[in-house]
Amino acid sequence: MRKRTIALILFGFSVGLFIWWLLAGAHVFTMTSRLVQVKDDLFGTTVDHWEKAFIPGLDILGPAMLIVILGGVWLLYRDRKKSIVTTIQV
Amino acid sequence: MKKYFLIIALVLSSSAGICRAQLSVGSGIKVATINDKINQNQFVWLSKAPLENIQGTSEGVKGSINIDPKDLSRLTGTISTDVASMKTGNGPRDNHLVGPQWLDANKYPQITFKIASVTNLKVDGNAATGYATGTFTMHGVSKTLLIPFSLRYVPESEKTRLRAPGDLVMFAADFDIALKDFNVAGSEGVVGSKVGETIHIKAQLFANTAS
Repeated sequence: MRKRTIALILFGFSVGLFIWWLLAGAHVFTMTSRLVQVKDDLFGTTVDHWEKAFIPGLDILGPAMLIVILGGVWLLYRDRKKSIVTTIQV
Repeated sequence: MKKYFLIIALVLSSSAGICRAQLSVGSGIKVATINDKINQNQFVWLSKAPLENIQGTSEGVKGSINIDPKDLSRLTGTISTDVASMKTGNGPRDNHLVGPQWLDANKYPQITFKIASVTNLKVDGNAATGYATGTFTMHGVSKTLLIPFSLRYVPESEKTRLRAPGDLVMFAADFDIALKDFNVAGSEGVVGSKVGETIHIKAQLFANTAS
């Protein structure tokens, strides 16, 4: 697979991570549980309870996105350098 | 003339009886004790700030309410919650929250609300709404707050006994507190950007009248 193609996949992956972060609530900090509302029929009300869940925050996804983007940029740079060297050789 | 005074006095005394906020169930003053077996007692709070909204809870709720279903205006009580039990869904953040820069659980282990009186009572069957006036103490600072609340009184039955003995009472309240009113400053520059200046609190309390 060409370096340029891998770089594009990495950029796409970083966009995917960003969308995941947005859809998960755009939290700064990663959460390991979240509040869910549970109905209490006896009192006719809803009560909040903690439920285990993984909600990624910017503290995890931020560095992950940065590494993926830098990897893509590095691959593009290597690809460009190689093509310049090939052009000069030709 | 004496007869008219007697009639007026009778009318006034009977109307006072009608105006008394009474539930359709229960009678006599009872002590309702907060009990987690009925449901999870907690204060759910929300901090809205430009950078992030944080939702959390404070559990470890204890206390009791003195309630007379036939005269709700006599309602008093004390409710407290353990500061160390605060959760936000993120462990390191929970530790910061109860640490010395914020609520300082070691120095101020409890947040309490002592109900002194209730007013503006409106009753509908076995449910009621009103305003509770009392002393709210947090971070070593006490303030008098007027808190809107609702309650539901469920007399003892087969269904209620599955959770706890005695009559069951649910209290719910929604109110706001300003962090600066309780000298909670936090890390520099955080209040107002990552943590809201005002915290919205929702109380969910369940109590039973049998000890």
